[in-house]
Amino acid sequence: MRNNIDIFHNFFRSKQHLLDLGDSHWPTYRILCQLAYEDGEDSVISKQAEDFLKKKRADWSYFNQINRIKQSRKNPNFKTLSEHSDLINGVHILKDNKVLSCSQYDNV
Amino acid sequence: MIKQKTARVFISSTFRDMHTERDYLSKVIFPEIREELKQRGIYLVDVDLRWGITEEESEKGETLKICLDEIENSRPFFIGILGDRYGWIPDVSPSKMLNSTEKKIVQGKETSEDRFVWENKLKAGEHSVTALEIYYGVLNNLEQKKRSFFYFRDDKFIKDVPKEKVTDVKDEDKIQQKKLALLKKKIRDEYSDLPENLNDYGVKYKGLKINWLEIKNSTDQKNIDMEKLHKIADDGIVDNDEILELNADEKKLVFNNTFTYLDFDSLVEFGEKVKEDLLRSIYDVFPEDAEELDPLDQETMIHTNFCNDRSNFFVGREKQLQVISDYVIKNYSNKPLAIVGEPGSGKSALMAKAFSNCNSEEDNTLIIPHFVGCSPSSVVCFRTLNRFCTLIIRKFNIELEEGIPDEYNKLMECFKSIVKQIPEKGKLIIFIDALNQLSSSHKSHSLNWLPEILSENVKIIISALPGEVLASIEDKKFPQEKLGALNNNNREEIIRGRLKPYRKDTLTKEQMAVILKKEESGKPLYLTIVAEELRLYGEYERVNQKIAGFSENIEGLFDQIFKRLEDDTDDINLVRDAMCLFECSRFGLLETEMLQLLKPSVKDAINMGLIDTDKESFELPRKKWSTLFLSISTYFRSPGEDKTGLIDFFHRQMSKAVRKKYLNKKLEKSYHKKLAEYFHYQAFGKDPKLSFSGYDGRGFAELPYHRLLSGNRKEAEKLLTDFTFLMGKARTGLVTEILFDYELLNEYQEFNHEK
Repeated sequence: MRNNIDIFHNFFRSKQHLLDLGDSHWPTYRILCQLAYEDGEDSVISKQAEDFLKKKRADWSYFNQINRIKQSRKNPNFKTLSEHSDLINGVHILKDNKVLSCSQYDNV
Repeated sequence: MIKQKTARVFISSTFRDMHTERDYLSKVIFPEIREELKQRGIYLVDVDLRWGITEEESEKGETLKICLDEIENSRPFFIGILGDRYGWIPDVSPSKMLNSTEKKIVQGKETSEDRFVWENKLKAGEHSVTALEIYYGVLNNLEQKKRSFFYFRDDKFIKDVPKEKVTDVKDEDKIQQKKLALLKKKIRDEYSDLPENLNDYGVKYKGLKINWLEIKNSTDQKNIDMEKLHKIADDGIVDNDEILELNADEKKLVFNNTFTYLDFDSLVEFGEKVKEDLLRSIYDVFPEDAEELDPLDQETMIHTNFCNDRSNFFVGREKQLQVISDYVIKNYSNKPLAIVGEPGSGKSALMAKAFSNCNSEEDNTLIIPHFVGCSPSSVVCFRTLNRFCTLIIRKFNIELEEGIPDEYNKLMECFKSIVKQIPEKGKLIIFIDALNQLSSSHKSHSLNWLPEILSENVKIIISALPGEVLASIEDKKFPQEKLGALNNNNREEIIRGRLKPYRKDTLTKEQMAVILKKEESGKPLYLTIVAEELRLYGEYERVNQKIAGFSENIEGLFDQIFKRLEDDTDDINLVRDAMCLFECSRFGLLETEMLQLLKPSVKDAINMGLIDTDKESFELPRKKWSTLFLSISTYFRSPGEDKTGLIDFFHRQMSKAVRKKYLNKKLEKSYHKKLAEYFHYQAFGKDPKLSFSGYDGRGFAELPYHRLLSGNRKEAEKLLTDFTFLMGKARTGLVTEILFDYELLNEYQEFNHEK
């Protein structure tokens, strides 16, 4: 049984790149609420987000009754790199397991 | 770090006839403004000195000093409310009132010397305190004009006021009336091109508001039927019809201005205008869509400001400055240069001075100042290295295939590699002060992150106290320059230099000799504190005893300052609580927070007459705060320095002295608990059914830290797994801090609290 702190920590770490997209038109907290709601059927985060929405604490539009995964699981990614804008051809992990090399069309 | 700002507003008016307006502003209008501003990360401090300052106290010479200091600290916002009273005129000249207690102006444009000259021109018995506030705050400082607002009350209501009370609201004396008319004319003339800042308003007389507490405490109520009076004034007010029901003794009581003051209706329009004016003005100064400096530039600004502050009043140390200059220019060593010295020996000031001497106009030179401890992120080695790397890459267009690493070990290597890539024609100089204050995580005190061999065009100057960092410096055989005691000429120069702007550099040779014989007088910090304490000391006749009584060392001096504060405030608990709260804070506290955290209990507040019922809100009386803080403000990082309003100790030695005198582990936890409870209340919001619906970014930012440090790990974990708290944190713009909160939880076992 994963500790709730780990679950929340992992959730925020793996979603950081999406939370960074918030701006004055669609602020970060709305993105957070949607992501939390979509985390998984059995997710403690989703349950709390549902409760939050049930209490009508969101005064903005959001997607509900979406198909979401049954069992939420730990995202093994440490960080999502989000700069690419075109197809990525291949990814290679170097021997040290730390450096990621990729070939792509967008020259990022 | 959240981007909060603080706006302080000084309210100037006569007291006796303006209670109702001031009450209405502080109880209705300012809370509304405060709520609105909070949503934009701005904190409002309304400076209403009414609670503390009485005319008796004024005669002691304290009033004007406090008023003018508070006006300075509140610039540029100022509200003047004038009715038909000119107000109390002190018998002594303003300069005499200030002579004993003159203090450094924190933010004002005028130098203290200008202020001294201005005050000397004023004659005794000429101007009221209110007029002086207006002249000093606005009419003599026209830069303030645009952000100052005046409200003139018309006198139509006076016809309804019982004739026995008319003197409470209108001057009888013709000279006073003339002076008031002249003051109003001067304001109107001055604002002829800015009429929107002048307002006339009317009120409707309601009755006499009774101060039950004063009546209860008085001895004049023997012949008064209190039951009858309570029945008549069941709403706390005696109107004109009700006065007819009173007998002669009762009338005498209600006409006494100690026991009643005039209450008005129809203040809504006045209040709304104040709200509109202030909000417009505050939004102008802190615009929502203002382009915020990027975090890197913001951090650089903090270091540069700190540097400017520290290099003020710098004297001596010619040899050390020459050594640094030679090191930078003549290339006599390919290792970092270390400046070492005891606490208070002036390392930071020397580093700041050397940095400002180094200012190069050459385009291809990058000079980075880094004063550990001057900003929250400056103590974290990871963030420090990230800052250096980003600045260097930006300046010299160095390309990194993988960008700046997120992982500490890689970042360390990246920094070492980048400093080797400075172009031949370029030059990099880094000043890193107080390495001992760097957080000890990642074994940063071993200096394994610092390049040991530097190329010719890279110079790194570091400073540290004796201890672990110095041991690493010795291990790595870095060249050292030691800061010893100052020579006597420099010592004298520091003291005289600090006293001169206040016209107090009149110490005799004998008096100076006594100071210079003190054990730690060779340390600039010791001399700075001595000069500051002498400046604040009013009794010239007893200055010899004062000097003789100064402690031999810095720690002892701080102890004496705490004792002085305890005497000045006559409240040992208040001083202890204030110092301990600052010490236990994460990166300092706001003035608004201190006023709430230090407020008396509800019972005491009722007894003190701050509130009538337990349903009213209240805070620490302003006078108590001003008495406590203004006389030690030079030992604190100024609240206006970066407009965040956070107040924190300027010298780490003060922090240590607080720990030694007041704190133990148990008490420390209890202060963290108090802070946690306060911030919880701020973040939770007002609706008990909607948890964490508040808009207070400070509450969301500080709460997890204080829950942890109060020893309540479970509560901290509960908080960081509570979606409503996390949503609140995101709503107040703090989503990136959430990850730091989890990291804090993970690192808590090895958490080193010393800031």
